[in-house]
Amino acid sequence: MLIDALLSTFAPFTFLFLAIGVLSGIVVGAIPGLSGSMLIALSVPLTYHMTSGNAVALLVAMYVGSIAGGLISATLLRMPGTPSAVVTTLDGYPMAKAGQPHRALALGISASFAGGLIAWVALALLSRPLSVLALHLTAFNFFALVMTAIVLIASIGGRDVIKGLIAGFLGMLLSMPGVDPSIGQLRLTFGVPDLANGFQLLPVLVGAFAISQILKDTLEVGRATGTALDSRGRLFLPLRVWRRNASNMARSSLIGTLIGILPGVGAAVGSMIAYAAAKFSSKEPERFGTGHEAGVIAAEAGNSSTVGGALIPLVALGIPGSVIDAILIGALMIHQIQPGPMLFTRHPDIVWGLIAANLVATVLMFIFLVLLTPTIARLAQIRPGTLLPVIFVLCVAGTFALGNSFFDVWVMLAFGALGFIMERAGFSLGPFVIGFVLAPVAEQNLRQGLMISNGDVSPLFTDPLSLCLLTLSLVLLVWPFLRGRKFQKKHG
Amino acid sequence: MNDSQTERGFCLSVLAVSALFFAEARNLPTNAFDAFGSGKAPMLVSCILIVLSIAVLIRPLFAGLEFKATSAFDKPSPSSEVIVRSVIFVLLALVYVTILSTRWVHFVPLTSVFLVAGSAALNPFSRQTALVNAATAIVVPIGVFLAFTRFFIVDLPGAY
Repeated sequence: MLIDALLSTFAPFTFLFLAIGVLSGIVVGAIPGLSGSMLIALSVPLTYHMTSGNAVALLVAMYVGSIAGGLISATLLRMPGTPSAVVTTLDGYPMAKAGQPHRALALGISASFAGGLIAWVALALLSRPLSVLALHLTAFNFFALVMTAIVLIASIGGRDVIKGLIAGFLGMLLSMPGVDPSIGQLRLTFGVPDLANGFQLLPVLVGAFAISQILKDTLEVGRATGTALDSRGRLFLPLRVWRRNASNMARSSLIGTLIGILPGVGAAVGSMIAYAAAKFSSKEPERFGTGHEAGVIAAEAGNSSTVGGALIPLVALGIPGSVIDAILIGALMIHQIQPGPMLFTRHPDIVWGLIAANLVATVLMFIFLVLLTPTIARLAQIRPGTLLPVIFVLCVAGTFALGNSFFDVWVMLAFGALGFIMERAGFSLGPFVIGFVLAPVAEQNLRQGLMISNGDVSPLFTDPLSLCLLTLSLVLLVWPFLRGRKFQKKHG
Repeated sequence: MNDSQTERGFCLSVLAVSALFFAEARNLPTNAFDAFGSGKAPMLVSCILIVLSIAVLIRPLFAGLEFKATSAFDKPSPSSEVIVRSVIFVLLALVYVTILSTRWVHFVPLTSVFLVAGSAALNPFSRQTALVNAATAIVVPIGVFLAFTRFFIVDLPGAY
């Protein structure tokens, strides 16, 4: 099936959408102030009239491109185009500033490619066995897994555990108005007829990511635009550099893949941990942060490999491996495809198509970055004051197009304002969105489990897997406090 | 308003919303085959949110219980000119969406006006930016209109 899926990606329209997706993802990822989540959230309504296969190909290609594109502005402007490129600035920018921008970009592009390929191998090999395993999970197991995902992203993905949990549970609460998923009864509509369908996922996502980002960017319109990249330099690494950095690339890619598999954790954490591991195992750790090639490679391999890793729980379990995967879930749902362990059984063509699209998109990403980075670097200098109103118009048009309803547009604006305020107050949007997406899954599984056990909640604590997951959640909750206390005791 | 005031204000809002959801969820009925009912999950989540929000509000009284990282990428506060420009842009955006929702005006001219006004609000004036904004205000609305109605075959807001 994988071979068939790979061949079908070369069908004219599918390949065109893959190319458009990768290119637009790279461009958006390269422009500070825009993000892949914004692009994908905006594009989902536009895929409504596409075939499911083409829609998935386009969105996965955007995902791959946007994670890689952040490298360009991170290296040239010290302004990460995406959060996942923050760590790339630590060594990429000093190297560029020291007169070696092409070398810095070449290292990053090669590392992104290697990371993407290694993660793809894991995706192709692990997703089917994991989905078979997932079919044996009980309802309580799923509930415990979802709660662990929320705690994980709150504790690892954000700066403050309690605020991360508030964001996660707030997302869960705001997903509940509308129709009860188990018995079809209306609840929490507060007498508002438009709330009978609840808050639709896509207006919430477009609002939380795109509108809140626009609001944030209007406060940064005066930022410096940096200098253009000379188009004469080579962006392709010689073989000896590949060989010299092979073990770092492999290690960082594996770390990124594993981090990507953890539900709810994203590319930024993957690149941070890969960078830390590279520094720890380096013979010259003091050179990290000064423009060391190992630093650039670890950061970029670590972040690109989270894409493939994060797709594994999405296709196997229906649980988003990252915030962008949460948006992909929304895309699958508008195409009447229910994510979950049965996805492989019910829609194998979609799943294998997604896996094939990830590989082809990774190759296209490498080609486009090698050939077009100087041109894309110029686009990173577009005035945000001109770009932001255009993006706002696209948000309004795209959200309205979902259901021909202005209620969705107002919901988008409201969640945009909420997302902006949340981030100003130090509450991450990642846990909020994951909580919003996973709450129906969590509630449905908990209630199913209770119905099967006749109201007995003890299987949640006696089943070995559920117990492990809940214990892990507890450890993740308590560990930051213990670490803080230890830190304060040590430093008075 | 500084960040800790924003944090406290947000937590108080979360408290209020959670209390509202809790009160509404309490009245939801259960049924014979699902003793958990529609209301238990919202009530449980509301209670957790109330406890967590109170924890954040009283946390400053217990220095040492929090552990959070600071970032080298924390940005300085924007100037008052930038804030005024942002507020003007937000107001323009709200007016644009409100007029669109009434369907009194066609999407293309209304969007052109919004793009010109929005870019003017956000960009300091110069001849070059004015020309770019004018070109954007013509090309983008027509391009979006054609793309949505002819290629994606989806409706656009506003009059037709």
